[in-house]
Amino acid sequence: MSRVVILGAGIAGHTAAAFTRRWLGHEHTVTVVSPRDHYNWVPSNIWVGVGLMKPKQVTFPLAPLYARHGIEFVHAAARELHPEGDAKDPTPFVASDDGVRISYDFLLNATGPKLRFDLTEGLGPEANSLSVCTADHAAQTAAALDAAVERMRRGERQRFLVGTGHGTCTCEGAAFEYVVNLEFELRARGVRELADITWITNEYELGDFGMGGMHMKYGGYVTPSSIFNASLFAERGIDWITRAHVRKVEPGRALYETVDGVEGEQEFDFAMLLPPFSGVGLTAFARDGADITERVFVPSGFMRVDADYTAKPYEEWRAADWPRTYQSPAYRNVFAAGIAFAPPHAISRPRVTPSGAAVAPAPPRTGMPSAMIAKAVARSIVDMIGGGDEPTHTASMAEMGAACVASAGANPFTGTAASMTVFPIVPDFERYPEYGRDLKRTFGEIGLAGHWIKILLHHLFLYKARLRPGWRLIPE
Amino acid sequence: MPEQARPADVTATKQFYATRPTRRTVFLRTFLPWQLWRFAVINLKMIGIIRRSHG
Repeated sequence: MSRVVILGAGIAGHTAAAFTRRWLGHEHTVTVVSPRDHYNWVPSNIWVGVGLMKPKQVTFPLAPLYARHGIEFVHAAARELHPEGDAKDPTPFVASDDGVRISYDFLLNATGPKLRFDLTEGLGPEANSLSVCTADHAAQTAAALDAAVERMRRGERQRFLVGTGHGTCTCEGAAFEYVVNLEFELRARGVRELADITWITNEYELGDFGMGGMHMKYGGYVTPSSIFNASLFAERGIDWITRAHVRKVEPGRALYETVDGVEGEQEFDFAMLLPPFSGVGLTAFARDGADITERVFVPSGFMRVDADYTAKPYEEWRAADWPRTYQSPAYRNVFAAGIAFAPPHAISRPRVTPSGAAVAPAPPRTGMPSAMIAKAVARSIVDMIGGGDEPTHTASMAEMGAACVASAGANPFTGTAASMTVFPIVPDFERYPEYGRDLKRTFGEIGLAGHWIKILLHHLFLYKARLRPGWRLIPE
Repeated sequence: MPEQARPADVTATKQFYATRPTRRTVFLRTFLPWQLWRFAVINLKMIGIIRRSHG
């Protein structure tokens, strides 16, 4: 009998748990350890944040689902990793925050991120800005939006600030979806003319999204995504500030500095600013009790996997640096997936402000790639339990593409969304020397069809996550 | 001395020089027959990426 333990029940952890359970015989156990007892389809938090959905429409309880499907569920946060066991017992185990010892033969770390609101003074829902990172945060943001709309209905002008709350944020795409949905919703509620909307971002150019932007063939030109993004903002009357590190958020005012040396402040009545991410802060110990956290994790708390972490200049970064199997180099029975694995480097060129603050969009590793990585790792673990020596499946972000639909306004007849595909996610300048990507497979367009696809994906992926009949036929 | 924050006309200037969609492009974005066709085309493109990436 083998015990597979999965830390986290987000897109990566839940996907891995479902496939591992399906592929493994029932003499083996699959255990999910998560501090959250609900699954959250995070991409739809955007719609909760503008008041179009309630949290219960994007979440569901995990324990009953796992009970029905033979997956053990431990509602706790993992705190310590003991990959060699301890002095009394060499069996590897994870210790939770409430002192529970969970032994494993194979471990998948899919904890997702720790939301680091603390890295910018005054950032976050417990301070001076809002968030859509969780369904509860998004509901709080929707309530604040309702209050702002009420003020506008009384004739007050309102200033909205949306974007990234630190120079090292990732998930610019989610904040982008929020700002265009916000603009659409203000129009729908008839108060748009009283709103000043500003986008603030750590991207060097609009449309970077932490993946170096993308180039598309359009109208006889190869056009960068910055053109399309600026076009949409100009059309919607949204102002923008790029290359920015927000260093402090005061009540009603954000202070920022940019790579170009601008020191500015932006006043607001409503600010939705995403936080930077780090690993969740797991610590690792050898059998003798020695702290081996640095051997297993990088300083930001993400787990080391089979990537090339050698420090080198941006010009020397290669697609081949990116991990393929997501196996820990230190322990063959330990893997990481989703946001929990440490990327070898950024995709977008990192920069600093004159005062030395990093303005370096972190690479996205959510959604489709996150689930595909989790599925590949699940297959490898199952094969290794079956007798394989090494991981059998790979899912390099430098070899896979991604399809993404960014909502730009939710309405079945007047809504729109930007539909995009990129191939590969991590640009490969050795294979595609000019732009790093295959231009035949990298495209984007905005329209109502994209909104229909976004709605379809919302229902399909929640159906799949609930493990309803035929769930495995729905691709990641 | 750090550069001062944006002058008042920066927003208008940025928006003036941004590419804008024509009325036809905006119309097509929500024109049902065209969007039904684009729905099929986009889905096929995405299925292609998904199949290639799952391979």
